[in-house]
Formats: sequence, structure tokens, C-alpha cells
Amino acid sequence: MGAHAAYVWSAYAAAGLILPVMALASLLRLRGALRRQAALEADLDAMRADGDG
Amino acid sequence: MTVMSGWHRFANPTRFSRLSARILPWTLALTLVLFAAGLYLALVASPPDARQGETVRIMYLHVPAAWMALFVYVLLAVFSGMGYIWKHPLADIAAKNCAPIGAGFTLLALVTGSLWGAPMWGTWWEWGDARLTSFLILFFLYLGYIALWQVFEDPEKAARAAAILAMVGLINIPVIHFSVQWWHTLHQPASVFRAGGPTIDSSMLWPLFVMLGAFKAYFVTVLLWRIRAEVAERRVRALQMMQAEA
Repeated sequence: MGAHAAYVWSAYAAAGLILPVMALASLLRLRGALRRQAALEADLDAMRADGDG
Repeated sequence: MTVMSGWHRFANPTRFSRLSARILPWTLALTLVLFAAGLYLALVASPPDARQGETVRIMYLHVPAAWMALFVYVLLAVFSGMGYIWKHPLADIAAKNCAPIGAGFTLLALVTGSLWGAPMWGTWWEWGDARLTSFLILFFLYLGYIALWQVFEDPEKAARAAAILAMVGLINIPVIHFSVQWWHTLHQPASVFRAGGPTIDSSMLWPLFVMLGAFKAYFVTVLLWRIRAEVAERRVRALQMMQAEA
């Protein structure tokens, strides 16, 4: 890659850090939120079922 | 059906979550395929530049990141305007979640621009350059927008304040775009979207467009993840209140 290889690889390393970290953080946030939502909905359904019983 | 009634139908959070869950596997697959193809074209298949040599490969990251930084800001301002006028929560959520992704693209454009500038211009940064400084202002606008959402406890107040900043900040977009024409800058003038057609050879233009496609698909995927997460978080807060009242 020649004399400027370090600049090129540094640029790709920066992209390889910023883009996957941003994607992973968003995906983990979504998984956490959906899990909390499902747990709460199950709790509320159970409470409603107890109330009906 | 008018465009607005179509928007309102789609903007129902439950309908949006269902639809986005169906779209997401496709956008994720498209992102991965386009990045794989784009990286191969950028690093292996495309030729080195006659003057810049291998350094030109930074272009395949820097240019799409910069275009996306501008595109996402315009989209953020449009969503902000829709939220401000029609007070639709999903428009505010979309705008709010555009901001961190746009800030990421802007940071990437600044970092890769600096890494490109060092060997080509002999400097990492030039304060007197209008393109560079106006782009740095764009980064601060994104940070300011994100900060405004954190300042207010009431999401409606936060959305309104952030929307005003987003719409006022829109003035920076033409300044960035035309800075290379209005002022004498180190940064080169437009070489793709310009009157008279692109000045870049097709062997470099294709990898650039494939990488732009990859960045766009990535943006759609991450934005949909973030909007779905925010919709679910708001539902969690509502359920917690229902649970507390029960």
C-alpha cells in the first residue's frame, strides 16, 4: 500500500470501530427494551388473570 | 390516499413496530452484502489514483460518511418540523434517533478527512478552511440537539426545543455544500454531483456508490432498531405506571 498505508488503515479502523459500536449499542438497547416490555406485559396479564379469578 | 394520511397511518407506533420488524431482516442483509461488496471494490478492485496513490481509498469512507452526515441532518430537521407542526410522537422519536447516527457519520467524516488531509495537504486540520469548520459546526449541532433532549424532563418540551434547534441549524447545510465555491478552501470542490457530470473515473465512481448504498442501508437498519427501542421503552414506562396504579 506504500508510504501512506497507515493513514488508509487508520481510516478503515475508525470506520470499523464507530459503525459497529453504534449498531451494536442500538441492537442491545432494542433487545433490552423488548425484553422488559414482554416481562411487564406478562406480569400485567397475570395480575388481570388473578383479578378475574 | 394523500401522502399525509399515508404518513399518519404508518406513524401509528404499533403498526410501525410490526412493519419495521418485517423490513429489518432485509435491510440488515442488504447492509452486510453492500459493505462486503463495497469494501472489496474500495480496497482491492479499484485502482490507486495517479496523484494520490493508495491514499485515495480513504475517499470510499470519507465521502459517503460526509454525504450521510448532511442527509441525516436534513431528515432530522424534516422529522422535527413534522413533530413540531403536527405534534406526532413518532416524528419526534424518529428525529431524536436520527441524531446519534448522524453524529457518528459526522465524526467519521471528520476523522477520515483529517487522516486524508495529513498526507495530502500536510496538515491534520485547518481552522481557516470553511468546509472543515462548517462541518465541525454540524457535529456540534448534532451534539447540541442530543443534549437538548437530555435537558428537559418533559419529552414534549424537549422535542419542541430540539426541533427549533434542528430547524435553525438547517441553515448550515447550504453553507457546508457551497463553502468550497463561496470561499477559497483547501478542500477540493464538488467532483460527483456537479454541473457537467462527475470528474471521477467510473472505476472509482462505482465503488463510491456501492459504499454510499451500504451507508444508506446501515442507516435505515440502525434507525429502525433505535425507533423500535424507543417505542418499546415508552410502552414500558406506560406499563410501569399501569402496574403502579393496579
